Amino acid sequence: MNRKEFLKITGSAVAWSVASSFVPHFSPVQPGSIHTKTIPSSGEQIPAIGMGTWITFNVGNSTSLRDHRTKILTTFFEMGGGMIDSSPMYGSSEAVVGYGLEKLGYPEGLFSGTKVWTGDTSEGPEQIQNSMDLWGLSAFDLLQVHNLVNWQDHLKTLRSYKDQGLIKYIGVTTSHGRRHGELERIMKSEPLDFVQLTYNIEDRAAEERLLPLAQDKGIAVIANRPFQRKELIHKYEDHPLPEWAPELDINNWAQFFLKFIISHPALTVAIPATTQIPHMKENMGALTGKLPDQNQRQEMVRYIESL
Amino acid sequence: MLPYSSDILFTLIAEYNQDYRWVALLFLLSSVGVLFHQYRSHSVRWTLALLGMGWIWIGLYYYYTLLNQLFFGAPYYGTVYIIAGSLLLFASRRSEGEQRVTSTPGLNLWWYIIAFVSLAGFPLFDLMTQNGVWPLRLPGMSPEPTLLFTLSIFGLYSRDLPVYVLILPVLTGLAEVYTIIALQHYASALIPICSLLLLIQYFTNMDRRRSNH
Repeated sequence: MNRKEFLKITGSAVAWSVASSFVPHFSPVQPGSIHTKTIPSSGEQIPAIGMGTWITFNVGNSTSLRDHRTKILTTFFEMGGGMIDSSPMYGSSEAVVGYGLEKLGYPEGLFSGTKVWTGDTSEGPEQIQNSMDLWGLSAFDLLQVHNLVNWQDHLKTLRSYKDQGLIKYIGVTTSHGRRHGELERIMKSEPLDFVQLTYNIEDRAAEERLLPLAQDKGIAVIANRPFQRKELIHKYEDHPLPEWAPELDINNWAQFFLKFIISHPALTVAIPATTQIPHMKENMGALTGKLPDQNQRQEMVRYIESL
Repeated sequence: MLPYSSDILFTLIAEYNQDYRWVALLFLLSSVGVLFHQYRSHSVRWTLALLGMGWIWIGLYYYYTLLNQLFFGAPYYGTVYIIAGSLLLFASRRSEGEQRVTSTPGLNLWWYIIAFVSLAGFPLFDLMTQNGVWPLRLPGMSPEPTLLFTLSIFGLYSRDLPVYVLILPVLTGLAEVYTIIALQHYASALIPICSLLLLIQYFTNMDRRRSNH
């Protein structure tokens, strides 16, 4: 090799590395490389991190905001996401989700989850149809009774839809630790595929009765408010992660909180919500790497409590 | 808790202001005209008429069109604004002759300051705290400055205004507490304070009015 050839090769290598630094450092998810959980009633596998749309996707008719939310969805699916959770209560969120899904051509990994939210039984079917129209779907993977509103009648409607093949799974939801007693009674008496409740490292009330009950009954569990609407992030972001965090492939507080949640044996999916692509990447990072075992989960709680 | 965030609301307000900039300009120019007429003639007739039109516009366009995209309760608020605006228009037709500004100098000054804050304060505050020049809460276009301006006019002329005109704006002002907390719009805290003050002032003035007759 002469000096001219050496400089040519070296120059190309330098140019390539400089150019590469402008390319987003993102590796497409390899099948089998992300954490999935089993839906007990069917055995179906689902990625353990989904996404919520409360407030974050309620952007009205603004095209610029809808296009931005479509980019959020793009990142979500590229990093292995599956469940998208929404509701008619969330303003325009369902319409915005539908807008994004249509632009993305309805990715194969989509697990569509929404809710019925009306006190009037007769309005339930119309609301469900409206949700289907907004999402651009003819069937939902999951339909839930939102905040247990009129659950007795709506569960009958949902079972009927399930028999017709319009829904794959049915469930009920609560949040903020409310109505756990009633939720427990429903879990014991009604055949459910999913329940959704609030569970995070500071709000662990569900551990006492509801999560063990869900395991016993074979009910999948969705954890909402994993960051308590960013309160946990704001509260701890100025503190350092524990020195053993890298052992669990935890690079930021979002992953710390999410790995705590999805490492519980009863937990199926956590559904953080975000409006920012970097935060979506942080959240989805919890789908890879090690998950804490029982002892490590206790260590995580002790660490938080020590701060 | 409201199903939308403050920054999304202001993004939509920016688009709404751009779409209806001619309405904002018309209201601004009309405000200057009617306030001048009010100063000269001591008659609030045209002020009430302009406020009525502003409230109806906000009910129809701000709540039924803009906020209805984000919030299922928006049409109810819109209906309240349309009814209140209609009552203001009705009162403007019934209003005759000279109106007396409330006799307490301290209160006069307070309500003049509130009127100024409502017309200039909200847009200036938003100009400093939001991105861009369009996401401004403008009188006649957005509820907060319009409501505050209405309360200031009521405060100045409460003795001569029928109670049916006052009810809805005062109640709406008190209800604003929820939105202030949910969206953390603490600058709007003047609204429920003025509503409360107006209630106290009105019933105190009413007693004086009875004793004067």
